[in-house]
Amino acid sequence: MATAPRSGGSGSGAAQRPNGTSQNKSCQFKLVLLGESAVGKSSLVLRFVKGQFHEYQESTIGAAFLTQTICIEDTVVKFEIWDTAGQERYHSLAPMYYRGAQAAIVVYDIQNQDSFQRAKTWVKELHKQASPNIVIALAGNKADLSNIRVVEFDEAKQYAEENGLLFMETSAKTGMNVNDIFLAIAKKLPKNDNNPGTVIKPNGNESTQTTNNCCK
Amino acid sequence: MERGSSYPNAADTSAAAVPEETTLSIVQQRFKADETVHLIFEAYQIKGREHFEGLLTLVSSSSGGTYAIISFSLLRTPLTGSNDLKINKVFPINTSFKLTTDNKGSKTEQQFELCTDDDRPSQYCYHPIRTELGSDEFNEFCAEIDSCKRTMWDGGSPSEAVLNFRWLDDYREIGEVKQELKKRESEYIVYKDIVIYCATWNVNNRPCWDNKNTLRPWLACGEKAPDIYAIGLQELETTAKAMLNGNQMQMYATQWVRKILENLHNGVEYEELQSVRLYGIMLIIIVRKQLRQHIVRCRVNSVARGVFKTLGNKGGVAVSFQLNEANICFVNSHLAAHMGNVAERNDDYKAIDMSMRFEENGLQLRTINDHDHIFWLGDLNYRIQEPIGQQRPGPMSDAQTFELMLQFDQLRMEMSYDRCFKGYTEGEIKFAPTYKYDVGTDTYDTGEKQRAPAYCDRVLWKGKRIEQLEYNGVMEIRESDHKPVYAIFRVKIKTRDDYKYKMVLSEVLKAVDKRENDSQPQIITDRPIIEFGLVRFNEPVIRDFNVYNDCSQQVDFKFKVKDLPNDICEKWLHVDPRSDSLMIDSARSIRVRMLADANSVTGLLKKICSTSDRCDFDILILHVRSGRDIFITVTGEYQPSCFGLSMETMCRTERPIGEYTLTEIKELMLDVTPMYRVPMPREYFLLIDYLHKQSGQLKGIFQSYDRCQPLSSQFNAVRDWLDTWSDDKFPGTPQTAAEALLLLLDLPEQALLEPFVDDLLATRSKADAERYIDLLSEPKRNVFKHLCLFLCEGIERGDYDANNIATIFGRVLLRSSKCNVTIDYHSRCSEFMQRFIRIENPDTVVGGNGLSSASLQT
Repeated sequence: MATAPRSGGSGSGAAQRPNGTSQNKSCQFKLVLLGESAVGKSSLVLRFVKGQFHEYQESTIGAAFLTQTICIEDTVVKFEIWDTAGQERYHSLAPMYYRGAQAAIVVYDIQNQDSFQRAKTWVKELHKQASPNIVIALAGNKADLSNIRVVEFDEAKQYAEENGLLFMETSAKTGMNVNDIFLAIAKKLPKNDNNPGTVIKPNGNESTQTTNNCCK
Repeated sequence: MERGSSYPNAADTSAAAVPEETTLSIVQQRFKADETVHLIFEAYQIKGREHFEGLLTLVSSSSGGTYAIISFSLLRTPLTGSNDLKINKVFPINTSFKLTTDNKGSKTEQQFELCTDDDRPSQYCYHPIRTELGSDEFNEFCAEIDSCKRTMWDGGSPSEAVLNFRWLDDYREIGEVKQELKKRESEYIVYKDIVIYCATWNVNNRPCWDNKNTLRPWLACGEKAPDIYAIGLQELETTAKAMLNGNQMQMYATQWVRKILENLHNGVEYEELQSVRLYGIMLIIIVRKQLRQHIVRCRVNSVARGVFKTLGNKGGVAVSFQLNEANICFVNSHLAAHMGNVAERNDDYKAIDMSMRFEENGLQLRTINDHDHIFWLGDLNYRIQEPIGQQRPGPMSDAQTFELMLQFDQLRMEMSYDRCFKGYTEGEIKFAPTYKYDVGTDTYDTGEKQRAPAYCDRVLWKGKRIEQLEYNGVMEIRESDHKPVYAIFRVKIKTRDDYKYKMVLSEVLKAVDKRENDSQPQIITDRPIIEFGLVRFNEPVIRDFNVYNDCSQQVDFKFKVKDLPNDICEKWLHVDPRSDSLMIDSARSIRVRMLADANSVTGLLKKICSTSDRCDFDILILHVRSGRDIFITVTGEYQPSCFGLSMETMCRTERPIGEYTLTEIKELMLDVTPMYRVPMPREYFLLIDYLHKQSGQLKGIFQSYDRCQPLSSQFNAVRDWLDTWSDDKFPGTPQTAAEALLLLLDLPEQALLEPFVDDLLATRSKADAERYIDLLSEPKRNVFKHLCLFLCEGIERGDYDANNIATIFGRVLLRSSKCNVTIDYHSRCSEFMQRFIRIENPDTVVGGNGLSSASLQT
């Protein structure tokens, strides 16, 4: 004779959230900054991560690693940011950093036409060699100096549109659009729970890991 | 290893040094007041090839009655505070917990694995602090775990159901952000009022369609429309016939739910959240439609009691769910009947209270008491046990009479003796006993048994922030021998203020990011560029640089393997050490050796040619574990030498190669026009000429050649002699000259007979082969012919053996990138060479020029 309880009602449709509380999804993305030397890659990261700006930012000789977490809607997005050296001599090492990245910010200096051309080359290289779903943002930095600009806003915007890039003019000095460009990237990144992303951990080991949906 | 003082064997700590005490207290800070750290065991966690220093801590919770091992990694050593500890894994010591040793015979490398639940096992390498005691400590650690298991399971069969690991949820798979959020809960938690309507009725086996009348007097009281209804029914239809027919019972149940839904408070949309039934005992939870989305983790269960304590004609059913941040539980029970069965009723209560579990993470873990707000209702069946001779009250008695009767209420008495419903509260009763009435009347039992009136039907509660608004019996519902009862509560529900929560969350995230970024291990190098200056062929140069630990923790570094070459550095460099650890404030010297030799010069020249500007020798990536990468550029000026250059390049020079800069040589190397200054490189001519003149002393000089072998001590002098077109006497022996000649032939990227190696090997006669030889570039053709002539003469003079020469030179001249593809490759090379060095008619080889130097001296 059965002694098991029988339950009726509409309970079967109950939403089952893992821990009951704090149901925020959480994603982790690798983001890489590319662009010619001295366009302000490190300054953008420093502004975004620490809210600071140094007029004489040291040249990056290597690849700096920082993390920054932001919330958009109900999702906690953690960026693992690799800020790479811009000097041409280090160009051949760049693939090690953009490989497996889910996002890239290609930076140029609005006062420097060459840096814009170099940015275009980076975009081309990313389209060719980076992961096919990479979200690329083009950042025209040093926008606080727009009175002496040489790269026109419209020109860059048109280029970005033609190439499917997010585009903003930014200023690491004033903070203009810095958070916004990272936010825009976070919004564009796919955040479904079962989105396996190849994340290169700062310990250098490449590992395929599933972005988990529990808050770290 | 450290012990917590609260552990029974605390006497062992007497020997522990003071700093270790501190570690224990720091670790203890990470836990709640009722959680005790018993033991700390230092261990490396092994992950793939890497390992991390960590602490394994054995912790118990007095509320859960369970033990667990929590593995921490150390963000800083020595520990300065609990923030330096990061939880990386929680191992509840449950039935699936395992500790397996992988004793490889070495005391210091004793590995063990911890695993639990559905997780993949995490492997740890045991690392004793005091080596001589290591093994003992590990055994002690294992013994402690065994002792914990015994404590928890009390020697009997392990039953997960009685243990509670929920305290671990605060540490499991969450990490810093959640822990911080938990700490700051008070900043974003608010309390929201909701109205909960509890109702209970023993329906006396009546199907609900017997109740033609409205249930509103029972279910729609109170001014405010309730947010949640919890309605308990007993004796739904418990005749033996009905109990054997599940479908019929289910039909009754459905009818009741429908009827109840029709009789709720007006003007509010309700929906059934969950119902649960154990035969005649049924609990129906109904909520406001808008509230539904805030409810999660709705679970039900039941505990059967009654006949044989298991049949289920008595017992309890319960529903557990979470509303916002509050856990709420409703229990409906029908306890043992009859005046004399007080102890049985108490036992029924205890059984339900003890055994009712709700599923969590796949296990039946949550108890009734693991809720913030508990409402227990039902036909509890406690009677009025009046002293003999007490006057039974009439049906419409007043409050004073009720109060008098309640003095003899068994439930109140039992509760006052703590024999049941410990911690529960019941509101004041201002209504008539709800049992037993003649059906259809408000008259107490006039039947044969004349049962004494009693407050069988009750509503109790337990938990914080509960306020009872009403508690009443309903006289005008007369279909049963019981009167229905209801109680209305106002409950302050723990709720997250989303705005404040987001503020706190963003602050917490910021702080965690900051900590993560600031605690990044850092090292500095004394130079980003390693300058080698002038580097010459076959002359190793050594440079040292220092790395210094610039932070307050141990730093592991290694040179990263790059894509090209698939190594940490190019072939002409050697780096030592390739990886190491730096203690705080310590420095390490790293040695880089540069050597362009027979094995690497071709690659170096190729790299130089493929780089537009000045070429760096290499860029090393110094990687700090969990930190940044530092690029170290290795640079210098390579002094060109004839070794490694192609014959074409050498024929374009107009002065000794040693007088050229690398840039100039690079230009010559990249030149592809067939314009040559000389028909054949002077360097070849000089060597061959010298060797030619040493006839008689050449025995065995070509006997062995291997480009991987170290070069003779005079080699560098010979190199300079060649690179300066020196008029001096040859600075070496014939042996050195032979070595240099073979190297000159062997080092260029292309073998002398390229691009026709395959074609030449396929030819069957010397005449066939010569057609291809004629197609070689002028310098190559001339070197080949000149060389063959020289070798022929030597063989003729008996300086060396034809077979030997054919083997060695065949391999060098016909060197193929696809070499060794065929088994007979070497023999075919040798065979080919034989055709050109065997003396037939020397005139046919180079048109009788002999070894004249006339054409080269222009």
